[in-house]
Amino acid sequence: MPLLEVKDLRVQYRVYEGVLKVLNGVNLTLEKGEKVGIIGESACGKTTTVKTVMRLLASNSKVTGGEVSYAGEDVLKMPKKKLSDLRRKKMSMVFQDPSSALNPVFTIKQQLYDIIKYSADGLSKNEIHERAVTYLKQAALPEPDRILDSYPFQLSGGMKQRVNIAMALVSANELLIADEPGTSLDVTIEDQIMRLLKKIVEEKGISVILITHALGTVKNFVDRIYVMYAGTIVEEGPTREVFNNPQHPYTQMLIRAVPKLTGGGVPEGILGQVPSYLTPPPGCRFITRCPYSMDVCDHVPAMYDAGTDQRAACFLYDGVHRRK
Amino acid sequence: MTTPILTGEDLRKYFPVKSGVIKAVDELNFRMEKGEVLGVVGESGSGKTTLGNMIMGIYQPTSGRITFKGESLPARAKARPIQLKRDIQMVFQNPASSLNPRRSVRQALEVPIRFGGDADSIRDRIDQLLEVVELPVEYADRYPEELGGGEKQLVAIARALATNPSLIVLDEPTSSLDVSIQAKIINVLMRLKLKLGLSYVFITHNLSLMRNVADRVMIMYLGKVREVAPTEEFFRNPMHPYTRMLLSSIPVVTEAEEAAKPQKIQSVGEIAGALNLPPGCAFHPRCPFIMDVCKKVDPPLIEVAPGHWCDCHLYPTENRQTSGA
Repeated sequence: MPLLEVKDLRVQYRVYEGVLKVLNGVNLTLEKGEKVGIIGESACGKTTTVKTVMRLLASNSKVTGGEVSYAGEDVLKMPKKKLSDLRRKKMSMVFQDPSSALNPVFTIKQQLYDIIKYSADGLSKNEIHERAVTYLKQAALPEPDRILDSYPFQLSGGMKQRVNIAMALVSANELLIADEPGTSLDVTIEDQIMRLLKKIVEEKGISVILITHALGTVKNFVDRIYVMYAGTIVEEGPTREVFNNPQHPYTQMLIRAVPKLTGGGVPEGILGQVPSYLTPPPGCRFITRCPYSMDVCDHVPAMYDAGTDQRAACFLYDGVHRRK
Repeated sequence: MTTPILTGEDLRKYFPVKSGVIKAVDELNFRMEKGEVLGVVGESGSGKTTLGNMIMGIYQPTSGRITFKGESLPARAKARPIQLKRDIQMVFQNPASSLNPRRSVRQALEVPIRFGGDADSIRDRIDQLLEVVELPVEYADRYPEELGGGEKQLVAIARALATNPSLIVLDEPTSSLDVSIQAKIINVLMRLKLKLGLSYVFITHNLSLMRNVADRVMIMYLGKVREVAPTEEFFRNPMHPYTRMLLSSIPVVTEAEEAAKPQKIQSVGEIAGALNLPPGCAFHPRCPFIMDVCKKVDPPLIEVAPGHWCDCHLYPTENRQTSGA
């Protein structure tokens, strides 16, 4: 049984203009100890997907279909008590912006102690402190005592993100969701944070979902990749295959659009825009920007086997149609 | 030798604060030829945006001067003759905040067109500007909220072009955009450069992007230039340990790129606070090649190969001279 299984998930947001039909049948599985990445550009539904898993969706949202099962139990129907146990002891999340994930008016000690107290019952003051120091050390923070007495503004961006990782580790005994953990940091600091995170999760055997729009960042981190576009998974496969041999037209164009360190100029990118979630295309949501669009693309494509080891949601791989 | 379009001579910008002085830009010298794309690359606190703001006259240098087309550039934008203001324009990072949400594209373009002097037919000029940045002319009557992020940035570029400038300061023009959109913006910018004979100061943190668009790359770290070289040479032979750390930290997508990275210098430590700069070379606390001299003497920027400048004690001819001086 996989640790996490998301089946045909559909999520909508109610806004002033109408209903945003964001997730349109997302399927995702995560085995125990596995690291998967969700890549895609802004507003493609990456964060909505994991927020549904954590049950952290905003109040104007609605899950209109599908299920999320964690170790065989349906998270979406779980009673409050059980859900909080899950968040206390099994899974946690690291957010993108380390500054806004910490409360500016409390010291790190107050915030970290709270989380530790909440993660287990009946800990003594000493035990709480000892655990706090251990977690900070695991996050490669020197002088944990000084860090504990600091307010967030007294720490650099990199240190704040390490504190966030320490906080997430308290509860993430099985699953860690990292939502763009390095995006707001400088490249040299992001590199350190990603290496640290990888080392920790591999040592502890924690399963990871890493979300990012920076393709290079996931490449060295995860075993498997899901590519998202406009609320749908368009391609899925082992990291190496997806990068070296992308199959879905969107993945191909996305990887091509990244400026390469080896030069060769910047290609044209992907023309057009992501469709509005108010009135998304009824079939394949990439149809408006796809150079290979066909009549059949007015229908929703299933995931077809494509390439060596991956699957793509594209009629080019249904065995009937082919590239013009 | 031709007259460079832009130079900086011992440029400094210090910000006095309660607890001391922040040296945002220090002892900065550079030279930029007409038609060139100069990639100014650095992480946060490197002083790259401060430099851009000084070129625009938004900040006044504490000392030193900037020359434009061979003549000294007045420090304050207000003190610059109108022709000079037309000639140097800027595109900002976030098009959502650099365009007024209550003004249509037409209104946004009208002001600089009038300011540019050739206001005979504003309507025609607006159409022409939109065409030049490859936007449909119907967009003139749209408002920023009706445009995508990339389209907004194209309007910002059109606005910068309205006064017929010869130099444009691009401050992270694609950093807030998705990579598929970035490609479009960059291609428009490069076509415009050729068509209109523009020069760009391209401020960015993205080295991979500079590999593909810059003629020369200038690396800044804590207010100073650490390395400058023509792009080909820069990527073939990166010299400064910081440059090499930066290059090996960049996440890349292809195997070929992985192979092209210099020998791994693992990123350690964090960028020092600008208020308490380490003595000597400001990079020494993070440098794997640290020597005693690095803690005491700030190395000068020297030419280590033709056109390739670097400030590091590892390149020792000049080292002896400095410590002897």
